[in-house]
Amino acid sequence: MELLLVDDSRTMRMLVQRAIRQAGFNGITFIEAENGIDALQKLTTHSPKLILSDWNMPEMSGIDFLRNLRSQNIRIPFGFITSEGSKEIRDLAMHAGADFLLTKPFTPEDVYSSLHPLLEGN
Amino acid sequence: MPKGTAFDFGRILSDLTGKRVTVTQSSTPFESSKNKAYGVFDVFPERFPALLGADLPLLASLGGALMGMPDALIRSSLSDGEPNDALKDAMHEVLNILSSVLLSEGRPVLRAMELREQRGFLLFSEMTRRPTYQNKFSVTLPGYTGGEMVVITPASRLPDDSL
Repeated sequence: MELLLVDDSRTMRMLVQRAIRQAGFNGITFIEAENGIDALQKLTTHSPKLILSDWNMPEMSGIDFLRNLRSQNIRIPFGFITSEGSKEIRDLAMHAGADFLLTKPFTPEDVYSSLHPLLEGN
Repeated sequence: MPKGTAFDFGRILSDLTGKRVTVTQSSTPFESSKNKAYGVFDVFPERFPALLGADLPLLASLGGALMGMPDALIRSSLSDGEPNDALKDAMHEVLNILSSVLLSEGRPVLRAMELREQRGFLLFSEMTRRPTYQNKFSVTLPGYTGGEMVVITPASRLPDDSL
């Protein structure tokens, strides 16, 4: 099973992978992208089960990336992992079609709670 | 200007690094001249600037602890001049995550991290040439080098306040 991680911070991509493994999800292949543009490119050759994206990124932000996907009717489950946790941002994310928003810093338990409903049965 | 509290900073830094990070309010003047790191923030929706200044060894400790790097390796990286790219990336992420507790109103978004001494000094001077609010803290974390940090915001939010 593939999972697309979109974050301009290499450190955060590493931490998210570690937290997902610590949360007990095994057999996941991580595809990494540095921003929305890079992620759209990766999606031409990969079909991930889930996309996890930062919000603030250069070139194309996470919200613009999500809107781009939904405008193409690409319905891959999508979660934000971001330091932006305000109600305004959360509402924007959900309105654009996000499945969840997880704020940094996060624990493996937080990751489990967010990912389990989407990856259950895989 | 409502401020982020020492408790808020301590909690988020402890959660982030997995270490017991102790943050206390400080009255020590922040020396802007050398061995400092700065995070430059835009605060939305009003779009006024905020600056977080930190001792470079402290921010490096927090970034290194985030990645699980031992203190000796962090010191070694710093002794070569600028931190290596992996450590720099982790320090940037620490600043990014601190944006959520920087202020208790508005939405600070990290615009840049500045490690160059001269540029950092200019940023600090530019920010403090008019009245500001300064919120200073001392930070310690077990097994790592601690230090001082300060959050600076303008006392009045004028359109030309941007850094």
